[in-house]
Amino acid sequence: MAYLDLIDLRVEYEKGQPILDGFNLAVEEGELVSLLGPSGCGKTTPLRAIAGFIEPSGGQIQVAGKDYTRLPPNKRDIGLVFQSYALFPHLTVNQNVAFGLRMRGIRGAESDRRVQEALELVDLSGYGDRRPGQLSGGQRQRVAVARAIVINPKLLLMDEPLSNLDAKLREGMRVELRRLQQRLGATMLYVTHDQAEALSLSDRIVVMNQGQIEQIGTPEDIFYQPSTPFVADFLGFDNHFVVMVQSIDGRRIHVQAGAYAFEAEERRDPAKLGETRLRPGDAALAYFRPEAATLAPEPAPNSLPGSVLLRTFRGSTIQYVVATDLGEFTVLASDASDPVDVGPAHVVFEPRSLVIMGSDKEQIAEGIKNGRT
Amino acid sequence: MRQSRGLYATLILLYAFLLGPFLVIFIAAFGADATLAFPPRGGFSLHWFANVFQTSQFIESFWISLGVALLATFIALLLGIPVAYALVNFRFPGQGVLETIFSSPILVPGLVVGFAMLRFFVLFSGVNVFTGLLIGHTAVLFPYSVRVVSASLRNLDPALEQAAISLGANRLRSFMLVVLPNVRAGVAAAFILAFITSFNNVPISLFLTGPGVTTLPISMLVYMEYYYDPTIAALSTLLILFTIVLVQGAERLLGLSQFV
Amino acid sequence: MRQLNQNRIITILVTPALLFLSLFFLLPLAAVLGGSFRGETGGVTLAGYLDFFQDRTSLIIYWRTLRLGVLVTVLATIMAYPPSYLLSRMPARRRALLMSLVILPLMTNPVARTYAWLIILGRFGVINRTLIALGLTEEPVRLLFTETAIVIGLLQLFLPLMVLPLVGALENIPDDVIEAARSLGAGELTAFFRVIVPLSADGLVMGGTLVFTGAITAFVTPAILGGSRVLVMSTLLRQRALVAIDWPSATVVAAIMLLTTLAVNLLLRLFRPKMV
Repeated sequence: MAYLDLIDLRVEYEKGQPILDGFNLAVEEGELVSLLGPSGCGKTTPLRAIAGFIEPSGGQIQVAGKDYTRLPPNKRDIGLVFQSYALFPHLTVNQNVAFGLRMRGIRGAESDRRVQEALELVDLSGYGDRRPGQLSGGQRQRVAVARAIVINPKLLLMDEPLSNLDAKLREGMRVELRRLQQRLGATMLYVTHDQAEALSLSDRIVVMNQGQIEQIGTPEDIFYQPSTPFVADFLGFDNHFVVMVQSIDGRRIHVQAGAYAFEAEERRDPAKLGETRLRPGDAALAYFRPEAATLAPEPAPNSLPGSVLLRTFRGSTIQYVVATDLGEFTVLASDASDPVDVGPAHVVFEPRSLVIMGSDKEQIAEGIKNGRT
Repeated sequence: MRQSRGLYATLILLYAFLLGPFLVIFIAAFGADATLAFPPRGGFSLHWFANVFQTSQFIESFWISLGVALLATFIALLLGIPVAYALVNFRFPGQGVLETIFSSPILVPGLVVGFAMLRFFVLFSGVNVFTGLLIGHTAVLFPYSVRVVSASLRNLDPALEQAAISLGANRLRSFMLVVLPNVRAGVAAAFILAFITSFNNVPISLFLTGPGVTTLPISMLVYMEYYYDPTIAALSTLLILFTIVLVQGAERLLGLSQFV
Repeated sequence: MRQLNQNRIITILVTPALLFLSLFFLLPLAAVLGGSFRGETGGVTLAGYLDFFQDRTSLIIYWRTLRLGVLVTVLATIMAYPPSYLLSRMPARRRALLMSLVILPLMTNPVARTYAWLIILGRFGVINRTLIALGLTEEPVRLLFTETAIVIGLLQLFLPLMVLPLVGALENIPDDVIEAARSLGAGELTAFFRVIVPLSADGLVMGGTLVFTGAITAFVTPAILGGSRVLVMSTLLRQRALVAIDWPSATVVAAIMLLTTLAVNLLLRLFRPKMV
C-alpha cells in the first residue's frame, strides 16, 4: 500500500454535481507529486479533502495506513502551505512558527529550539521577532513553509505556494523547496498551474482536467509523451493533425495522413502501455511542438510540403506560420538557423518528436472540420 | 474644470446645512441671556455650563445612559459576534430568513419597538425599569454588531483559520487565537457605533424609562418642556464635542463611515 | 465541513441571539399586530383600523407623515447628488475626512441636534431677527411648529443617509467611463443623465429607502419642531400611549407604522435585485 492513498474519492459541493468522482491516486513515502492543470480544473479539491476542509461524499483517504476520511482537520498532522501564505498577521514570525507546537502542548525551550531549527532550514534565522507585515513576499513564503514543517507533519500539502512571487524569485524558491523536501524526506503533494514548476519539482506529475486525471507520469513522460489531446495542448504541443495507424513495430509507429506517410517513435516501453496501446487501422492524432519541427528547402524523409505564410522575429527564435495540406502549423526555429523566406518549404519531423495518440471520434471530426486530413 | 465651481458651491451648502446648526448651538451656549436668543444679546457667560453640572437630573441620567450603553453594547456584541461568524462562514438552509430576523430590529421603527416592549413585555413580566431598558437597547444594537463584525469577518482571509486548524487548533481556539485578534478593528468599530446609538437613543428609552431611571436624552426632552434657557445648548455643546472626538477618532482608526 | 458537526456549531452560535430576539422583540411585535385586530370584547375585528382611517384627524396625520417623507426624500436627493458626485471624485484622504463630517448629524445626540433648529427658527431666532432687521416683517413669522420646520430638521438628520450610499455607488464608476461617454459625443449633461445617473441607481434606491423610512418614523425631530400642533404618526403614537394612555388605539397606530415601514421596505426590495 502506498503512503498516501486516495481511493475512489468523490467530492460534491452541491448534491449531484461532483467536482471529483472516482478519483484515485497513490503517493509513495518521500515522493513529491504535483497536481497540474488550468485554474478551475479541480486540482485543489483533492488537497482540501486530504486536509479535511471538505468532506468527501464517497471513497477513502488513507495516510500511512490510517483512515483519514472522517478525521477532524485539526487531528490530521498535515502541513499546509497556502497560496496566500495565511500567516497570522498579529503574531511574530516566531509565534507563527510556534503555533502548531503550542497546539500540541509543546512550549518553552523545546518549542524555541524547534522553531529555531525550522527557521534555519528556510534560511530565516534572525527574523523571528518581526511580524509578517515587515517581511517581503519571499520571506513570508519561507515562514509559511517553516510553520508547516515544524510540526513534523505526516504529509506536506502546498497549494500554489509560489504563485504570488515574481518570476525570478519563483525559480529560486522552486529549487529550494525541492531541496528541503528531499532533505526532510517529506511526502508532498503540490498543486500548481505552472508547468515549468511542476516539471522541475516533481517526482511525478498528475495532469488534471475537469476533475479527471488525464495523465500520471514522470516529468519527462508528461513533457515528451503526452497521452491525451488535453495534456498535449496544455504542455505546448500547439500543432496536430489526424492520422491513420498503418503498422506498429516495437516503438516505431507508421501512420498515414492523406497522401503522406510518417514515422513516429514512441519513447515509452510499449509493453507497459497496456490498453492505451494503438493498433493498426486506428484513427489517431499526431502532435508536435513548434520547436520540435524544422523547415527545409528540399523534401526530406518524414517531411510535409507546405508554404511559409508569415515569418515573425521573436528574439532568440523565429516563428513561422506554414500552410500545408494537413492544416496550418506553427514552427519555431532557433535564430542560429538560416532564415527561411515566405514561400514554399518543407516541414521536417524527427520520429521522436511526433507523438501519436488514440483519439475519440469527436476529436477526428473536429480535425476534419478544420481541414486537417 | 468649468463646472466644478458650481459643484463646490453645492458641497459648501451641504456642509453649511449639516454643520452650521452646531455652530449656532455653540454660540448660544455662551450667551448670558436667560432665554434663548441668537445671537446672544446680553454678553457672554459660562453660567449655563455650570448649570449643566448643577442639574442633578442630567448627572444622574448621564450615568444611567453610560451604564445602559456600555452594558447593552457588550451584550449585543456577545450575542452578535457568534451570529456574524455563523452567517459568514457557513451556508445553510434558512440562512436568508435568519439574516432578515437578525437585521429586523433596525427595520422596525424604534418607537414601535419601544411601545411593543413596554406593553407586551415589561408590563407583563414586571421586570425592573433598568432591566427593561437594557433589554430594549440590546435588541436595537444587536443588528449593528452583526453587520459591522460580519463585514470585518468577510474581509478576513479564510485561509488564516484553516491554517490554524491544520496546525492542530480546534474551532474555538482558532477563533479566539486567530480570528478574533484579526477582526478587532471591526469589533471596536461595532462597539463605538453601538455605544453611540444607545447613548443617543430616544424612541426605545421614551417608553422604557421610568421613575428614577431615565436616560440623558429623555431628561433633556423633559427639561425642555419646563425651561427655555440655554442650559440645553451648553449640554448639547458638550455632547457634540464628545461625539466629534469619538467619531473622528473612530474614523481615523477604523473608517467608521463605511459601516453606518 | 462535516455536515452533522456543522449544524451543531450553527445551532450553538445562533440560538442565544435567536431566543433573545424572539422573546424580547419578535413576540412583543407580534403581540402589537395581533392586538391591533382585537376587539374590546375579544375576537378578531378591523374596528381599530376603521376607527383610525375614518377619523379625519388621524387620517390627516397619516397622509402628512407620508407626504413629509416623500418631500424629505426628494429634497435630500436633490441636495445630496451634486456634492456626492464631487466627493466621489476626490482623493481618498480628503474624501475620508469630509465623509466623517457628513455622518456627524447621525452620531450626535438627537435632542442636541434638533435644539439648534429651535434657536434658528424660533420667535427670536436667527431667521426672524434677520427678517425684522431687513424690515421684511414687523412681527416674528411662525416658523417653529410647522411642517416646514419638521422637513428642515429631518433633512439635516437624513441627508447623510443619502450621501453615504450615493458616494459609495458613484466612486465605483471609473473616470474613463465618463470620459468614454464624452469622447463618443455626449455633452456634459447627457453624459451625466445617460451614464452617471443610471450607474448610481443602486445608491439612489438604497439612499431613498433609508431616508424615506427614516423620515416617516423619526420621533425627536417632529416632537421638538412640530410639537403637538403638527402631529405625525410617531408623535401621535406617543400621545395616545403616554399622554392619553389609550392602549388599544395606540396599538393600532403602532401596527400601522409597522406595516407601513414593512410595506415600503418590501416594495423597494422588489426594485432592488441585490443589496448594495
